[in-house]
Amino acid sequence: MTVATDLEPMMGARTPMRRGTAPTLVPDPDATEAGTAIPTVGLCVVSHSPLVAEGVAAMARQMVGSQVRIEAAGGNPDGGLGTDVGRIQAAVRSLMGPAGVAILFDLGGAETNAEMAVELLGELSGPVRICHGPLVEGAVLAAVEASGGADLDAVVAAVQAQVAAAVAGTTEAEPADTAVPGIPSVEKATTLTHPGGLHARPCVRLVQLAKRHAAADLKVGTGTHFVSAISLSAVLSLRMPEGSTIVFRASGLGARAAVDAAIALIEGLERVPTASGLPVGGRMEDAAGAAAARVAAPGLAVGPVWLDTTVPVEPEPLGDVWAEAERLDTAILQARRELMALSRAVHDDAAAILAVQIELLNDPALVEPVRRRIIAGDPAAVAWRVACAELVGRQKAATDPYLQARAADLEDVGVRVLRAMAGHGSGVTPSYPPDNAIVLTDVMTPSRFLSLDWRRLGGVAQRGGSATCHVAVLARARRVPMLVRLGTQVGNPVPGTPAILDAEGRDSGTPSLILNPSDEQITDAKRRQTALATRRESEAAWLTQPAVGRNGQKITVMVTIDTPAAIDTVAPEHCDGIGLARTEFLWDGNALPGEEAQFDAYYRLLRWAGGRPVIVRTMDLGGDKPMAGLSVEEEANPFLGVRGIRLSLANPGIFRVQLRALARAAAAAPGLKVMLPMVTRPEEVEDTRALFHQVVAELRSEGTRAEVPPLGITVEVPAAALTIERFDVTFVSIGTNDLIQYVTAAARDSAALRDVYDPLDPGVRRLIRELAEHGKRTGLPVAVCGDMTAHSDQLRSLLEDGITEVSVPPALLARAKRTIAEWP
Amino acid sequence: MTAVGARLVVAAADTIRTHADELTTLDRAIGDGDHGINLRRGFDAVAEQTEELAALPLGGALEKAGVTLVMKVGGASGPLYGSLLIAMGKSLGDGPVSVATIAAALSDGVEKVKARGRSDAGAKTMLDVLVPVRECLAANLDRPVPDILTTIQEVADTSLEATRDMVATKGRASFLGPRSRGHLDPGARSSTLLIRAVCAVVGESA
Repeated sequence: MTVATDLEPMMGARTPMRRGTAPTLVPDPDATEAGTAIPTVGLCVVSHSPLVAEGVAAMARQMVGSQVRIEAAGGNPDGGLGTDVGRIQAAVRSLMGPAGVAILFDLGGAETNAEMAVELLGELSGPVRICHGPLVEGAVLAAVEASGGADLDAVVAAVQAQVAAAVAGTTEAEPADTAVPGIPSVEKATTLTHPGGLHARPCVRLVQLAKRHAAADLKVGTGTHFVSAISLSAVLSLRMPEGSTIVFRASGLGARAAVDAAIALIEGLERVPTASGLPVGGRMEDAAGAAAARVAAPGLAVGPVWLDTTVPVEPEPLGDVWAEAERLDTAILQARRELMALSRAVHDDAAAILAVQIELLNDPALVEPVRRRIIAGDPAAVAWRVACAELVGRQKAATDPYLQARAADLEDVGVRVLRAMAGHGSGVTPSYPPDNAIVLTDVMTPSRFLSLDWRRLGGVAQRGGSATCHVAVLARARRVPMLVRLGTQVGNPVPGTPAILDAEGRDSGTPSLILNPSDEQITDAKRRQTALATRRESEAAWLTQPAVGRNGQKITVMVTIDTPAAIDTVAPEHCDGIGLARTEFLWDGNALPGEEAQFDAYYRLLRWAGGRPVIVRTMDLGGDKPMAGLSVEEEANPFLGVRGIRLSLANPGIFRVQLRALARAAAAAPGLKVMLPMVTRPEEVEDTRALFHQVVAELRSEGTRAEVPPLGITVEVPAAALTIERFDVTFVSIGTNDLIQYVTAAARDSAALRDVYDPLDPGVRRLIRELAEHGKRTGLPVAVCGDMTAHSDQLRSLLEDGITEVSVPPALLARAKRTIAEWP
Repeated sequence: MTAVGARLVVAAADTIRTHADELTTLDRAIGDGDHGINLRRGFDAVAEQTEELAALPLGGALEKAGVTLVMKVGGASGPLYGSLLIAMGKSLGDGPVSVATIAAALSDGVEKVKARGRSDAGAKTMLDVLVPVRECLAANLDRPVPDILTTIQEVADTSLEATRDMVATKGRASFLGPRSRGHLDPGARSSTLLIRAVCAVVGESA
């Protein structure tokens, strides 16, 4: 072969181009007297198609004019689809100068031919490099880089940086410095007015928008910290609260349009979300009974145990990087198809959960590390499992309950993809659970739950899980009994072992999974099952009835909520609002959740109530609910110690977080009232009110909407009950549990004093009667919360004593309405 | 080269011409459907040079034919077959031609194909025929030429058939993944055709 070394670099007589695409050199302002321009890297576009090669070259030229020489080398020697070594050689020769030539190609064969061409060219007057990268983006970027005077290495690096970007569907997550030279970066800010801030749903919409504007390289952040808007996990990690300033920055193609669209999206988010928000997951667990099985969804099931293996067998490695990469793609594609099919079949909350999972499958933060592992030699299944576990671990370690809840979704998605790799098809394990089966599993995931036909199946027993996780919400809504936190003592019973899943709730003994029950136990369980069904049916009829006594007296019946998730078990229109929402259950044993998580929880209650009153009680810790590090230790008599409002006021740092969240919730939706527990003196109300005013002023100065909600007290201390007129409050609610203890001087849990601790004690009744009369006289609403409302006879005595507002557990709402309707 | 050299060129071009449609059909099943057309274009161009090639020593002729294939084929098979021939030609150089030197040349050529395609046997490519043939030749150097030729053709046929059950992991067919199973690899088929053509010419003149 002769080697083309005879060509003049740059400004010399240049070989005429084939196909009439000879670039013209513009006079360079920096040209020296000798007439030589500063050399730029030449670009050779190789494609199987002449049209593609010409088109790509034209697009690149459009970016840089004639500053960079660009040659197209497309088609086979006959001009058909293919590649032509001769044409590539001619293009490289014509482009060659001291700055060198970068060759971009489309498919594998073009690379082989380009390599061959370069090899056969032999010695040249400048370097040649073949760049791996997406052809169109690569050529445009290479042209822009070259026009800025970048040397060959820099041009090649810029193109190859696009490989990772193309694989992940995004450009690098670093801010600004990945900007495309020559395209001005665009930045705009707005205030996030969406209640709850940038939570999962707006995040999903933002990521989808960013993907539609992929070339713009949209970033989102606070102004100092930016993440790629294309990664759901990155955007979620920003955790931007309502009222914060959100900044968008784009530097790629279509930057302005992308930023404008993102701003419009944020500003267009309704102030009130359209559907019930995703439940705030994870944290709100009852501090008590951590080790015991808990009812996540009440009910009773009798049937064979069926083991649900959530981790599929990993497939045999294929031993080839590309085959493994394809296995990953195929599995992700299949998982996405399955999730789409599932989400078409469900509604609202379930579909929203699945939407998050579908978006996770598109998340480069998840998928990119997997690809890197595969390229490094891991089999796809191993790479996927390890990368998922790392991300799950990071999210679980996050202090933010939001990210913790996302970890469960990620695990769910992870298993689905592994199943797809292992060829388990739809995610339904080959042997489908038999009729009435009690599905025993480590953790039941939402998508797994939704893929089973619960009309035929009995219930769920989870070794782990929590009563407040997504899947519990789904189970309650579908009336599927579910126990969580069974622990390992259940072991691995032989599939088909007869069992009873007793999740009848706290009234009827310990929730449990009974294996190999006796005939009597089965008979009893079946009887209770029938009774439960009958009761539910007959009570359901009462639920829709108004709470009016035979005498025409309208009684306000509200519900008492122990955990935010409890609202999933009752329809708001069946009650008059929430009479008591306990917030001590936000406490997870170490700390209260942050302001955002608290706000989410309160806001969710308000959304649910739809304008009906929601009475949230500030932390009632201490006493029988000690709080490590906060309660005064070793109090001789904790019930008479620093508890309730006393403890909160003694810890203003923690209390203020709760008041801030409450003040924001009060401004975000109507209906919020705040109740203070264990109030003894009017000063306690006034101190709290002053703190409230402080945090509201603080929030407003931060640009966040906030209001001081109406204040009320739980009447449980006799001193307060006897002088209720001294308190400047807008409502009171009698906490009978503690009031009875303090009036009778008898502990509620003392078996020996069962007769003394008497809800119907004349002293107690007189106090209640006097409070009711005071309410009627002054117009102060006087309600009763506490166990007395849960027993029909005691409820009747309350009505008799003049009480017209009660708050009852959701499960007893129907019964309470029936008692009222049949009274007096 | 000699009259044998000219006969080799003609035989190779003939077999590709005769089987061009078959190769294209095979390639249409799992590739971009141009293997037969491309190879025919390349080998026709080589055939046009028969006289020039015949005047060169075998090494030089192979090299020249290889370059022609590279320039004319217009698909990945051009550089692959081209590299094979160029490397074989370089290996033979002006030196003596014997079974041993041919075996060594084939070995160099196959290595070059591996490097060019970043592949090896097992990926459903021409290497699934070339590699076993090379090994067969290397293992049978001491046997009489007719035996060697028979054995090589058997190995080529068997190896070709084995590509039917393979899943392609290289080239355009790899885009199909598991769906590439059940089809002969067109590159392996063209390699078999060329090997048979060469063996036939050598057998006649032996």
